[in-house]
Amino acid sequence: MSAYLEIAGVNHSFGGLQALNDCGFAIAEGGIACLVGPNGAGKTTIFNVITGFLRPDTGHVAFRGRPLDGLTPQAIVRAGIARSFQNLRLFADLTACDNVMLALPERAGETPFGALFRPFATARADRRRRGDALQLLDHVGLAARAADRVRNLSYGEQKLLTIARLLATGAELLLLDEPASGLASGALDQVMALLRRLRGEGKTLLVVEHNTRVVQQIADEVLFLHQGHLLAQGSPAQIIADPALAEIYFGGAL
Amino acid sequence: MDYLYSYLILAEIYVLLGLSTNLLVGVVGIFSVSQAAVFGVGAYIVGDCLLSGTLSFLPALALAAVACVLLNVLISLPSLRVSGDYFVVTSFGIQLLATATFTNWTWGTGGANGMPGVPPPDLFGASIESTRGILALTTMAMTLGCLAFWLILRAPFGRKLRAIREDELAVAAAGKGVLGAKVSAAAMAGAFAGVAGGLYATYLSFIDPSSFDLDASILLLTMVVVGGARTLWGSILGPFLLLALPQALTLLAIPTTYAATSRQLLYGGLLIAFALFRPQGLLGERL
Amino acid sequence: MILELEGLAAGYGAKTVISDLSFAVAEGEILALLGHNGAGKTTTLKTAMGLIAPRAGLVRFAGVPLARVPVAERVARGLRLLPEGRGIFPDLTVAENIDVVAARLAAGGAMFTPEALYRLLPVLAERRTTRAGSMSGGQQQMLAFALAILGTPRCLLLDEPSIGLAPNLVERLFAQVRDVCRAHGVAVVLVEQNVAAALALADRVAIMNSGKLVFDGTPEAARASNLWEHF
Ligand SMILES: Nc1ncnc2c1ncn2[C@@H]1O[C@H](COP(=O)(O)OP(=O)(O)OP(=O)(O)O)[C@@H](O)[C@H]1O
Ligand SMILES: Nc1ncnc2c1ncn2[C@@H]1O[C@H](COP(=O)(O)OP(=O)(O)OP(=O)(O)O)[C@@H](O)[C@H]1O
Ligand SMILES: [Mg+2]
Ligand SMILES: [Mg+2]
Repeated sequence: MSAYLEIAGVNHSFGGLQALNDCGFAIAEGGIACLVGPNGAGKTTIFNVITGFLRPDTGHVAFRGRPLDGLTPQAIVRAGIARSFQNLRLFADLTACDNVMLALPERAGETPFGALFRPFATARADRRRRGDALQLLDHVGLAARAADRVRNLSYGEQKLLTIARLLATGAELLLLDEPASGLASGALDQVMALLRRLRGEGKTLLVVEHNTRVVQQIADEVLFLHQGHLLAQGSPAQIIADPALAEIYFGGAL
Repeated sequence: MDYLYSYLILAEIYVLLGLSTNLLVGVVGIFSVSQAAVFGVGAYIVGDCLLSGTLSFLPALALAAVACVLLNVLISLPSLRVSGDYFVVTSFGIQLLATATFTNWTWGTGGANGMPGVPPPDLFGASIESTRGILALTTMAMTLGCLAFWLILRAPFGRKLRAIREDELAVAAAGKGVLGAKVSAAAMAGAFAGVAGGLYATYLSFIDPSSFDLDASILLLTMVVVGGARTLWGSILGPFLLLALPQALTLLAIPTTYAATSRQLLYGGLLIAFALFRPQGLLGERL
Repeated sequence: MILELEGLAAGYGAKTVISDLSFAVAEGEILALLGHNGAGKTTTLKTAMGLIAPRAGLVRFAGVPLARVPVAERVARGLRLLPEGRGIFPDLTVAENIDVVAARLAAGGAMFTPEALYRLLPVLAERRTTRAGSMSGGQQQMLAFALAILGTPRCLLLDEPSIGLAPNLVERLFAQVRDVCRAHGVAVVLVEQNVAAALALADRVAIMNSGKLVFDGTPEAARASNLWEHF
């Protein structure tokens, strides 16, 4: 049987800089895998490759045995993989609620024809979607800010919103790029609980995270990336116990 | 009275153009400075059809709308590839190209001398000669345009367009197509401009390239800036206000030789003042 | 006291976000400013910097009220902000970023010249010719920190400097903050969600809750208090 998500032999360089170097790993369905590694290790780059934002020089990505090579980001979301951005990329002029609604799966009314010729059905469907969006905002504790424009939210609030927007896609494999940094401990606990609940609901999560406390608390499995190459994969305890990895990650060496 | 009617008719035609520009530039963020060229193509197509008698008014208007849809999609295509700043340059080139064509293609446009004697609009065989009749027609067209704009903006499609303006990549990451939405918006903007052109040609009965040049395109942008981007009321207020101001100037009894210059001065001044002190316009948002 | 906030109130539009906020930080002191998301920490720093006009109260820097002093002048006097979400020029190279800031702030005899910074943060030296916006998130954060301390800072306002940094770099960054502060007598206001690290570093702790200061004391007292429910 083939793996749930499988990355094999991915190389990518930017100019002279080899950001991914024969990067390969596989993750199983239904767990939380944490992707860790020093700054510049290539974590965000591999996210870009998986989600179709970057075409690698060589290598393949397969999801449920189906190759994703050459698919657009949009098609990859449809296939069931969605991602959040390290630098948030929210729609600053839209409200929090609109940000989430935008990511809900396509339905009638998202075409100009629906909007023009079936206005009532469109409005009705949109009200339902608003309800769904509000529920998602509630999951991350932002229900009270639904009508606020994103540019008026604090950084931590925006961070929470990226999670709600990601969930709205309904994807089964969620890639989160640093969901926890900038969150106060209360919000952090809430987010960790949410991630665990998502796992319980059958979602699979691949999380880039620098906060070791978070990694220890949520990870079923840790993948260690260094200089664009997967150095190790194992349980959190195994990875933390490895002195060589600790030297790279915690030591002064750079 | 005729004076007022003439103002209302022109303002209503410009509201259609304002909607077109607002949709493209304000909502989707395709920064076009060539909307007057599309307007012109609509005007010349209707003018030619009616003058030659090949089509009556409504079919001619439909032809103009379709042609302008295609044209606007075509000239917006570069915006799908090049980034915002470069598109302005492309669009600028398109406007110059259009002006050159309007001025030199004597056979189709009458060239610099213009196209005189465009017959008045007719509906189902009856020609609409009275100013009032034309006002009713433009009011109807404007109302339909406003309704369409409003329906689009409040629908999920409108939300997607706004989001595209802010961050295309994030829209793609949300699993939404960007290309189709941009093309649809450009198509709608083209249809608005084409219809406006047809109404303009038949109302004035004389058209020449000066109505469709770069100055005209910039006037349309000024309307969006002054009225305010991304709102229906802004798109309505902008044209009504900007067309009223030169009239107000004539009340000041400025010699006609200065009238054109003073109008340009006024528009230029307004554009700068709004950009600096009220970027969200009177009833809208920041461009 | 190098920086003093007295009865400060500020907000956006009709909303008042911080009110009656007073605290001060002395030369060579590290003050950790903590609080839940949306407590008003960033608003406080921006108001001190002059990016938001206060609605009441005043900010004093080196004993001089700042009400009429423009932002650029505050920067020139040594009040420096590391803004939330990276204050860098993404389209310039790393070296250009540093040179642009250095041209104004790091004349001869400055505490941190570009060379000193490259020695301090070798990552940046390696990336001199890289376009800043193409670096990884953490690398950009390092550059933002470098830009904030370039020249001769007297008071650093650091808004979540550890975001995006791997643990080894967080440690190094905080060690550097301590050195800068101790060796050169620079005052630091450190906004952090990494509470453990911030408490370990700070001389004093201020805690905000919904726009108000609810605690101002030593890290030990803060640890012992029951204020953490505020988060
Ligand atoms: N668009 C780009 N152009 C040039 N270089 C790039 C680009 N994107 C990434 N890089 C380089 O590739 C390397 C890997 O970057 P990446 O963003 O994947 O790191 P990361 O593991 O996510 O780090 P961090 O933890 O700091 O976010 C870095 O050295 C970065 O400078
Ligand atoms: N531009 C703005 N307009 C309106 N409200 C704003 C604006 N910026 C921030 N706010 C609101 O003011 C409050 C305080 O925001 P601030 O950014 O100061 O919080 P913070 O303590 O820095 O939070 P975080 O830890 O999430 O960064 C929040 O409720 C936020 O939503
Ligand atoms: Mg990254
Ligand atoms: Mg903040």
